[in-house]
Amino acid sequence: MKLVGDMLRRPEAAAGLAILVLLALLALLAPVLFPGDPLKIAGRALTAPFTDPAFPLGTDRLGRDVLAGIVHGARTSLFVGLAAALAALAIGLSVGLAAGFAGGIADEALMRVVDAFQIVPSFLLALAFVSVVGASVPVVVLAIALGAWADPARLTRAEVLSVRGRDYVAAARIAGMHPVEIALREILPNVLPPVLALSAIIVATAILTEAALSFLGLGDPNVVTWGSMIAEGRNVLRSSPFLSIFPGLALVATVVGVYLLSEGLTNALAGEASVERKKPRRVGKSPPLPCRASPPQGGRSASGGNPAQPEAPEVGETALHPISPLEGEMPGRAEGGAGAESDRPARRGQEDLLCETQDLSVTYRDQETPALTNLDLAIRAGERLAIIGESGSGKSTFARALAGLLPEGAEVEGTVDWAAGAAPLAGRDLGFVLQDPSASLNPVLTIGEQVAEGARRHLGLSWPEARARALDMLERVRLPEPEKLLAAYPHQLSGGQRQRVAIAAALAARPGLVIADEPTSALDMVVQAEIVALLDDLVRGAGMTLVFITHDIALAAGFADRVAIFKDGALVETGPAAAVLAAPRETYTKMLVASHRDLASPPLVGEIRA
Amino acid sequence: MTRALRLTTRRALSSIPVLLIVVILTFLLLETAAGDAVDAYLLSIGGGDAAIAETLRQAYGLDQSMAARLWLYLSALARLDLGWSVAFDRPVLGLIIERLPNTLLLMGSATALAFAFGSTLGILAGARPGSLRDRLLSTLSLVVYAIPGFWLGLVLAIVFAVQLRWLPTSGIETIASGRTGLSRAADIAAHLVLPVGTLALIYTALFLRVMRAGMAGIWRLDFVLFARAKGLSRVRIVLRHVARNALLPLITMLGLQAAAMLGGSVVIESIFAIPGFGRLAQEAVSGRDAALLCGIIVVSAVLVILVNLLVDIVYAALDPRVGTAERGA
Amino acid sequence: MSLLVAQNLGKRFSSGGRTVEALRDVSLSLAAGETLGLAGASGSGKSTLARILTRLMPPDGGSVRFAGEDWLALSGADLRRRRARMQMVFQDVSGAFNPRATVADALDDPLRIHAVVPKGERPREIAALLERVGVPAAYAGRAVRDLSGGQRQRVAIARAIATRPALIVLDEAVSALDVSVRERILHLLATLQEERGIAYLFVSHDLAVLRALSHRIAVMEAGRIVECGPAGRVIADPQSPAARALIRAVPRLLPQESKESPDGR
Repeated sequence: MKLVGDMLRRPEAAAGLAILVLLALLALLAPVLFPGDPLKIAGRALTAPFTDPAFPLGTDRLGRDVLAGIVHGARTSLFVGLAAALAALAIGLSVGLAAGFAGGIADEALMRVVDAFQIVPSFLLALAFVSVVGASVPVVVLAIALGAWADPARLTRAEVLSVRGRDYVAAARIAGMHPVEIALREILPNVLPPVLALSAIIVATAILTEAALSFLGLGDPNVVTWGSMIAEGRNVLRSSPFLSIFPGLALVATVVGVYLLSEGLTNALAGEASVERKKPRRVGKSPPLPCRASPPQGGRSASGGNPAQPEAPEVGETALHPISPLEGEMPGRAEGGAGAESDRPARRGQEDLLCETQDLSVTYRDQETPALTNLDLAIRAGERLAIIGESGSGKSTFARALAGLLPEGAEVEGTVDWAAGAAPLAGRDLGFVLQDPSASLNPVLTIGEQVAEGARRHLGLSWPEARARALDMLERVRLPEPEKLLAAYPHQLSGGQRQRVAIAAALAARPGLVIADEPTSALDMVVQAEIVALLDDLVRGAGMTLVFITHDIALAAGFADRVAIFKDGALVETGPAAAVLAAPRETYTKMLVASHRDLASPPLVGEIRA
Repeated sequence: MTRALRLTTRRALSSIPVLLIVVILTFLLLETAAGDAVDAYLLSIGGGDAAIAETLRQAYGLDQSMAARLWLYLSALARLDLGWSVAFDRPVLGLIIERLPNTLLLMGSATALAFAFGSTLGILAGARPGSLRDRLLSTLSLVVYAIPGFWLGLVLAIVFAVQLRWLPTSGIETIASGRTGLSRAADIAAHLVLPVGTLALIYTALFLRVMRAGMAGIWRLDFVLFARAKGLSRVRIVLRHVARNALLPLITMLGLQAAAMLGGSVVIESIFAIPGFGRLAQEAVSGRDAALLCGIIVVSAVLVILVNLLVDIVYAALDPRVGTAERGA
Repeated sequence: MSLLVAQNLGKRFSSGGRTVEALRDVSLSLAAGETLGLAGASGSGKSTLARILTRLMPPDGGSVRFAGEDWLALSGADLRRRRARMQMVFQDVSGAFNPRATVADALDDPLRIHAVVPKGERPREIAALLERVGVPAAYAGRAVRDLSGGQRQRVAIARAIATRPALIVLDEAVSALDVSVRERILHLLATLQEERGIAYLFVSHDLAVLRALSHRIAVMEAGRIVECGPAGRVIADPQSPAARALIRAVPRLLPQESKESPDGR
């Protein structure tokens, strides 16, 4: 199975497996390595460890070999651990599958039993069971399984319910597949992996429980166990602590091995899940963009204009940010020194360059082909630029590169020249709107806080002031009852309303540049039209620059001054929107225009036949 | 907080059948043990004749049908009569109530400490998944969480009580010391350092791992990217956006761990000779006192239900989505 | 004669104490070889209707006749056998296939279950199906998840036509695709209809896409069908506010003279 290979390539899993294989070998070879009953007296009592080569780890009060005990104890530990986990898994899987498939009353009843077993401390249950039935290895196994089956049962049921709702199960039903075959072929194989990952944890818990039981004297008295060795050593704890310490170390090593293996398995599963997602998202901080300073306008000398200066602007450079603020008002920045350009006109000529990329290439970590290759593109201050491309065209990568929001490990070559010398600071100089408004808002914070936080940070406002600003923004994006919304949570809003909130949050600190990365693709068309109109209005009203990323050529045509067509990480064509769309030069653009469908496009079928 | 109230009421009502199942479970255990208990009792009082045995069996209701005995057991429980402890020759409930405060003190302080340290360290590890700090903390916590509590207790006792002689090894307080007030509190605290430390260390490792894993998952979500796009400070992103959401699975874990913690009290209290709930369970085992053991199980189930209700309230306060229907697409 | 007649379908969902009427008194009919476009904003109930008609979900009330039979009365083996006549293509191209399945697995299931061709001929039939939908037959051994979105949707269409159905329900079947791919899939669907006389119930929120394939269009709002008529008529002369909103929302490639622009730029 591919999963096993994936798992073993992970160092933690390999280490865990090595520990467990070693232990299993020791356990199997115990009768050969240390023949005879490890419970029999072998030598002088209380030999100190590392003194007698015959007893490397010493002897206990009765003169029994500690090393032999540990090796033989591994047999009990591993056997009980595995057997109990198998039993728990067998019960748990059956109950979970039964509950998940049966549904209704049977599900309800089974789950209440599962609840009961989860509520009773499993160690107490095992204790009671062993003490009532009498200690022996099979009873201990059963006692541990009794306390451990509820977790896998609950997980199995949850997975069955989740998988049952997937489209591929619906597709199997549509295909006319028998319910039993659906259960066995479509559902079960996809339910098992997470349950297996849990089973490693159950093995560890079982090993620890067995040890604790025998430590309390409730293990099988006829076999040697690590727990009973630790308990035995406790009687001479002051003089010979090693008697308790060595078997304990063996126990810790075993459980660490199991945990490492389980972690490898879980990570391999997570890796598999992320492969299933089309665009794997990456964690962490984005790398700084190489940024080269052009001489700033207005004859000011560059203060932070080191070529290839690799970082976001220092505080002192904030005055340089080139972007005209919303509604011509100059925000009172806390950082100071921003006044110098406050008389800059809010709307600037089309010729004013805002930024220009040269030979910009981006390669994501662990990917061979670059997401963006040798891109040269200029953005003019105050324009509305639409970046149009299909999936894999690099349009989102471009947006993130501009905003300095590339994932960690992304390799950037080439330069982005900002007219002001320093790259804009996301949030302050640049507002960013993401595709899926349901995902881009934090589910547990209020709308008010999420709109206000950017304003508070970048405009130097207090929380009450920032909330007032948030209220203003919510009105501006035409949300009903903005006062009430401040205290509302994202889940209380519709998709379109959430995107309005996201726009309000992105624009709260009055950035001069807005980058919207497919802001309407997750919404239906009526809402899409409203959101586009809103963005257009806000941007026009404030003379902001808009970079609008979309896959929809007509959506862009509606309001963009200029379009840039991307394909496979490269720029195909750019120019004034009307000109490019009316008379595309490149074949790809022609194809895009030809593929576009609106209400005037000829239908592919004739009128209704009799 | 009508939302939380509604939710809590519903959960409380739904735990009634669950508790009933637990009671039936303990009844079955008692049934298995009942014959033994009579023999054990007779043995403990130095043997007795068949007549005494018959009287005892009648007293236990062993001459009636199983259903009748279950009804008897249930109605006794409804009257808060958990039965008679053979080992202590006292009512079970009184015994448990006497021992409970020590255990609650032990568990409460260990959980509070572990939560404080575990969530803080978890945030430190989860602030930059994959960093050296994260890998160090994650590995360390994996090893610590693999240590069995009773063995860790012994090792700590060897080091701090036997070798260094800093702390007392056993008991909840110095016997017959005649201390009162603050002095008594300090004495109890000194006695609790090792057992609480042992439990807290292991649970710190667990909470660290849960917090860290939660944060690692949340970093991939869009709202974190959006928070970065808003130019927020790293501290605010880590605490307010990532950690705040990762707190939710940790709270859930607290409820799930309540049962495991009560179970773990048996070994810890037995090692440090703390006269608590868990040690009572061990004494019940050695005294072959099934009634006491079953009483302990029923009471611990009730405790776990109560802890979970509390956890539900906290969760509902932290997650506005709870108790409302999530909008579908 | 109508292939499909649904009458007075109703469906309510209740969750968290709230009840949503997803469908109210919905009736529609569909002739053999015809495409009925089902338009509506999200939450209008069109996907619920699709899932009820495909028997993935039971309605609370109403009746459906399909191919002359009481479609809702069928159950068990009878229903499974008749399912060959009504197939479905889903929106989510990655979720519609078992993550473990190869292309051949996905196509083999319907062929085997309905014994469309003798066992020995199945590989050849799979190759023919793939060829028909424009996927190289050599892809049969590949995992579905390794294909591109457009190719996966072609495989989904191949799966749907494998049982030689009379009706295919297309639930937002092209909404997740790139425009160039989408256009080719639409052409494929039109040709298949022409060739095999398959009827489509085509669900989408995009009127322009619906227009491409639909003979008639029904517009849904809040669980009701508010308008239904010949596609050209509904688009040229919409009667309901819902239809007008959907029409207004379709972006136009070339700027319209009537375009409102706030500051006259």
